[in-house]
Amino acid sequence: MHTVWVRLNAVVFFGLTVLLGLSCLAGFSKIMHSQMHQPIIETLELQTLRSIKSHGGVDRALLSFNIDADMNPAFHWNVKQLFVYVVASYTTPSKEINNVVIWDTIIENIDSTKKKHIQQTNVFVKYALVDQGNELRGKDVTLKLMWDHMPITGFVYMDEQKNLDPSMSTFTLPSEYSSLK
Amino acid sequence: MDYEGQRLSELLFYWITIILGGVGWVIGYFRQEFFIVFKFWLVGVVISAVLCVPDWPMYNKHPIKWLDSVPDRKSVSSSGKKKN
Repeated sequence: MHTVWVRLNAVVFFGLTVLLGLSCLAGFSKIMHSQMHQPIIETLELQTLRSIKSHGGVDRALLSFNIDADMNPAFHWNVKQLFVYVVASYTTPSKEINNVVIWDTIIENIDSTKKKHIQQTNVFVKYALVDQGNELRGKDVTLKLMWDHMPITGFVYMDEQKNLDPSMSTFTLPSEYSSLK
Repeated sequence: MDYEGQRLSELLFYWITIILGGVGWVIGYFRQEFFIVFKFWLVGVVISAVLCVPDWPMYNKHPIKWLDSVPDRKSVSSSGKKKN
């Protein structure tokens, strides 16, 4: 502590250590948040099935959906952004578990309250619902909303829509290839 | 900077950074805005740097009292010769 440089070094690095401590505390302060605050997902349902076709040997379905999900409750001071995505799940005889991401979006904490409430109708999929084989026809498909929390400090953690209502979120694909003209 | 000054300087930046950071954390928690914590922390570090890094007069109030300097060896030996 006897020269200017030693003191400058001490002040700066002690300061950074304190900032690390404050950041860790902020991370721990919201560890139970998602147990108490869940996004309100009013609607996530199929709007229109545009087509289901054989696409180079594998089945591919194109569709649009309606979504009304208020993601505001998922935010707190340690969330930088949410990565929100729609997953289509189904079962085929050869593959028991199939989860296909068909749409995604990023919501940042600086976005307005209105923008954090996803309200869109007739959203066309970003990524087609493609099967690993050709077993998509006639299957029951369930749409589910999932999201990743990206924190300022701490661990990335995932969460998903709970209490799925099958009458809304599940639909059956036609048993033959078809498309809307 | 004397030894007492070094001790004072270290205590000052220690408590300034911790107290401002802590107050900022509490305010940031209730406002749910981490940027507030960062701003308080930054103010604390800047105040610490201005107050504790330069050698201000308040750090030099306890100057070290050195012993009187030992006389030069050459002059001692020459004075001894003269006695003989």
